[in-house]
Amino acid sequence: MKRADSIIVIDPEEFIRDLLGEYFGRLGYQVFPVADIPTALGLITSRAIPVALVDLGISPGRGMASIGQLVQVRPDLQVVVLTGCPTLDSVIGAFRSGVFDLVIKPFRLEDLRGIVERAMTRAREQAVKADLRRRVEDLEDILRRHGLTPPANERHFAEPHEAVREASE
Amino acid sequence: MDKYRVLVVDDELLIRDLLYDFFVSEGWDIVVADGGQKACEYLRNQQFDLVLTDLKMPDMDGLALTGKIRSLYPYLPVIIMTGYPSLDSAVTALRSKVADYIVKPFNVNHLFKAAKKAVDEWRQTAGSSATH
Repeated sequence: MKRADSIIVIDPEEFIRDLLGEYFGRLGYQVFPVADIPTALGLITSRAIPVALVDLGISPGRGMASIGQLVQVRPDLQVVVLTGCPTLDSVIGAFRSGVFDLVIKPFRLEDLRGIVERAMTRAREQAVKADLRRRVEDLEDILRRHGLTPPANERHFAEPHEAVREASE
Repeated sequence: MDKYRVLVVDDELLIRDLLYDFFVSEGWDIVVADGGQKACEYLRNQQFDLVLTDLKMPDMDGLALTGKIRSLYPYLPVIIMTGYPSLDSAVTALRSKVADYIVKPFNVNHLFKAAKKAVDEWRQTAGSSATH
């Protein structure tokens, strides 16, 4: 685990916040327990927290909409949904909205730990991909600014080919 | 752009016929299989952009088929269709990274929309080269 790995726990129940805070804190994670969505939005906007554990009951009747708000401000956030009252609609809705996983309460902490570790791995992989995409875009920008993008740069490749062809004739 | 190519796996002839006619009318290539074994045979020998599979089938259930698909083509989109939805199968499907879980009876336009979304996203992100 990287030292900077952090988790936000968004759950209306203080007991769950304390339990998960203590458990993941002992595992070396930096844990941010919060009881409402506005506080969570503030935190994920200002800090590079890769994983969120979110209870669907955080906004009664609007749990998925709240998760949508989190993902809207941080599309890279890996969301693990916790729910004590799962319904088919909520489960289907969760994975249609692209959450990383869904855990039905009561759960074993060991199982949740495995899921969080996999979510962290996914977050790291996505960060690497995003970084590579940015670098490619930067390079393309440099090429554009120096007039080296096709068709402008085609002569650099075509001229040597022409020379070889002429020499071989 | 190549035509989209879908494999439909269902033991019910009515569903296979319905989906065959609909996807053909939308300009897709479609291959149908009446069970998981036949589907695996097709998947080993042909290329697809999407698999639509029933959940409960006599020879192999849709989740087992999804597992086999994942071992062959890790990113190929799979959509589960079922007349017997359950929390367990939905959660298991979610963890298998299926593109969607559709409850029967379904509106075929909704199913088509989900199918197109899954293929568009797959072609945009992974692309055929990642799976075939």
